[in-house]
Amino acid sequence: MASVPHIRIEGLSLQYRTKGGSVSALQDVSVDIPPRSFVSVVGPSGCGKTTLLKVLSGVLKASSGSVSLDNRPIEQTDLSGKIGYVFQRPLLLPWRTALQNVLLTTEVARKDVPLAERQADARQWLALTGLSGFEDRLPHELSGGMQQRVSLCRALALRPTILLMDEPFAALDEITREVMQEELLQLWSATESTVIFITHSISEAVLLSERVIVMTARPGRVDEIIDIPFARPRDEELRGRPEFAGLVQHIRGKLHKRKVPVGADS
Amino acid sequence: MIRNSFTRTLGQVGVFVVFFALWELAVDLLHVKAVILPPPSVIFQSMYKHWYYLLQNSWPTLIAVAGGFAIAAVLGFSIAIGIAYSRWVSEMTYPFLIAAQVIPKVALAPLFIIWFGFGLAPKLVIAALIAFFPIVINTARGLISVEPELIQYMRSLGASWSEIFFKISLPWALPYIFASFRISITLAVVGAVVGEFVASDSGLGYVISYANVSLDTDVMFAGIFVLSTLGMLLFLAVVLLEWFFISWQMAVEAPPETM
Amino acid sequence: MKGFRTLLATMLVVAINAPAFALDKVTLRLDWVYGSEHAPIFLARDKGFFEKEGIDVTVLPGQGSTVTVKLVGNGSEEFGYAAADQGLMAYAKGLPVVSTAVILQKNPVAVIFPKSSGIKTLTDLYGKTMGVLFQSVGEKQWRYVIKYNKLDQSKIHEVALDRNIAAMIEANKVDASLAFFFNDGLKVVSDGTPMDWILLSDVGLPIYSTALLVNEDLLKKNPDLVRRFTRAFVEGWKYSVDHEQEALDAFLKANPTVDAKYSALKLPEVLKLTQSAETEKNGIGYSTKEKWEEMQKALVDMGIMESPIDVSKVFTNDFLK
Repeated sequence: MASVPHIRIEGLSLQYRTKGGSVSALQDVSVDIPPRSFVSVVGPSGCGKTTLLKVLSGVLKASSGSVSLDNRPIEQTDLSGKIGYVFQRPLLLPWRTALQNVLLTTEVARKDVPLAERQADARQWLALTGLSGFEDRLPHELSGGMQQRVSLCRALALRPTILLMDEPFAALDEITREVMQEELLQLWSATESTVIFITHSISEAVLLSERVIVMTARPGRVDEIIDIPFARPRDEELRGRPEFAGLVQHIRGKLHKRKVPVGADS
Repeated sequence: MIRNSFTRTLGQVGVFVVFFALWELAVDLLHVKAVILPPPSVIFQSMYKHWYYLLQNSWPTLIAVAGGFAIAAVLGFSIAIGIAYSRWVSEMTYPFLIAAQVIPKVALAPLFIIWFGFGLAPKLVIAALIAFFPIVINTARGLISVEPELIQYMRSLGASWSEIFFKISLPWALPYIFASFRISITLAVVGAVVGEFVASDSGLGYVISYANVSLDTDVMFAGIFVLSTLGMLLFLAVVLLEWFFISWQMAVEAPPETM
Repeated sequence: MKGFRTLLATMLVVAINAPAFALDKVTLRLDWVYGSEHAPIFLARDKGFFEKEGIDVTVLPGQGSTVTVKLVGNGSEEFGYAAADQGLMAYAKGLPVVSTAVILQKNPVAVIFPKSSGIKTLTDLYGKTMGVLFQSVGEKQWRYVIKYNKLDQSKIHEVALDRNIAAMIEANKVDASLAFFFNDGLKVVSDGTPMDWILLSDVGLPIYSTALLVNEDLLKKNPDLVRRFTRAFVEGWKYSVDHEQEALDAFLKANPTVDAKYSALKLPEVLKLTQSAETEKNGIGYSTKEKWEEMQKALVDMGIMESPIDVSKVFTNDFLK
């Protein structure tokens, strides 16, 4: 897999066992994700968004259905070192400096690249996110937003073909959040990754992505896939446009319409 | 309240001073006989008079404590890894560990002497047995507490288990491990002295025990004071070690006035 | 109706005789946990010797003579049964403890060893392993005996032992040990190994053993109580010497869980220790100034006591009459 693959998810289902029986996390999910696209996933809590990400990163295995990358099944593709993951919380190692934290992923997955090169690269990423001068700070000396930036750099340092982001800006205040959104778009344009982005914020999804996947409550099914037509590069001004509000309205309506009961699938 | 290092130390010393002053007063006012409970002034005099004897006997106790603690650390650490990474080990060993912990080692001490002979060996065994439980519990806890999402991600990137252990899990568990070390070092002191009480010809436990039957209560307390000091110094050593290994953690957690 | 009248009559009788029922309540703290060496005391209590003297005694087990002596000297208990040499040491240190009856005339500390070891005299210990109670006055006594008998200490391999002497001997971890012969020595015998012993008293150590101790202030304040108590106490011992089985039975009845075989072995040996040339003439519990001074000299030589005191303060035979 030399370049960014075309991801096709077909009929993906996943059940897991609990004390009460078997629970269906995902049911018959089918999505098409072209290479280098930015796709957002929105939906109520517990609808399987994180589960979907974990299947894509290879941590979880589907119960049925398929995920293929350039028409090859994901089980047969070697994804190691090609997936970047950004969690809801920064999950930085508290004893490592910002620089050392960024190096963690390449330490593990890019051992062939010499250290000096990886360090220089890491510094660049930090600079790109506005953290020059903070390379030698420990996480507890950084604000929440800064820590999350470091986490982002850590993922990007891999030059991942697929970047998975699980509500990365949820814990940040609104202003920082908007700054981060802009930064993310800029950073992403410098890479060639496909981004799959989970969020609870509909406006965030519409701003960032060209495709929004709306999911239902558990068991997670695809309710609708909405294409966002705005051209890139995008910026904050977009929020003011009526088409923007319209799309947000539409998606909100989809999410509020279905009052699906939460409970275990039998 | 002024929160700086000097005032803090002054306060801590002050507590001791007040304690000894009250003791001195109480013994005087209540006309307590020196052979029952000597006042601190007499004890300090005794410490000065017998300083060499006390120092000489501090050494065997120190060796027993340090040795017992080291064994406890190695033993505790090994078992903890088993508990943290193997469900089977965890479930099988836990009840036994707890049962072993609650048995008073004082009761077993005479048996240890029969099994392990005289001298240092039984002291090491007792000290290690008393001290290792907190280390097991805390180390296992620390290793388990690592963020599973991060571990999963690292695995998906191709990290080997040993990489994950040494780069992530172990450093993550260090604060827990050192917390248990603080407790265990004091327990190791108790254990070594218990061993010395039961049968020994040297060490501070012997000093205390012998002074007791000789009705030299001042020497007995001198021994207790020295033992206490020894314990404090060892605790301090652990804290220094902690500072060396996990200074990042201490910077985050410890407010200035905590030791 | 008849029942009520009986009750009334009983109450009247009790009320009239009330003063006779006001016994002196005292405690007696022993030197160690209950053992048949205390059988005469149990006999005295359960046969009513104390009650006859108007005393209601509570017998308490001890944790060593050192503790008992401290308790009596501090006034926490009225009477104690503990080692006379500890009483002397305590008096020198400011604890006013006085002996009113020295019951065991000979110190029971001995070198004990299995009969099979072939040890006959102290020099036979050369080349052997011997357990020594390092944390007790016993060790000093042993050093004194070594000096007195001009033994070569380096030829005896000493190891630290205290609480598990019998077990160590039975496990063959030591060839001999310093011990209370009637405790650890007889315990081993009771478990099946014939033992022999050399009493330190027989090789140069003149030390009195357990005695009835009382606080000096109590003695001055209430000599009548002390007299009555001593009388009942000594009578218990006198009676037991002539009625050993009855004493043993009294002890076993009061302590049903003890090792009866071991207890039966111990009592006769202990009773033997109550006899000496002085007690033959003057009765059980008698002690002499000469012997006290001899003991004090040994203690000073051992380094246990710093300097001698006037021993006549520490004991009295007055209450034995």
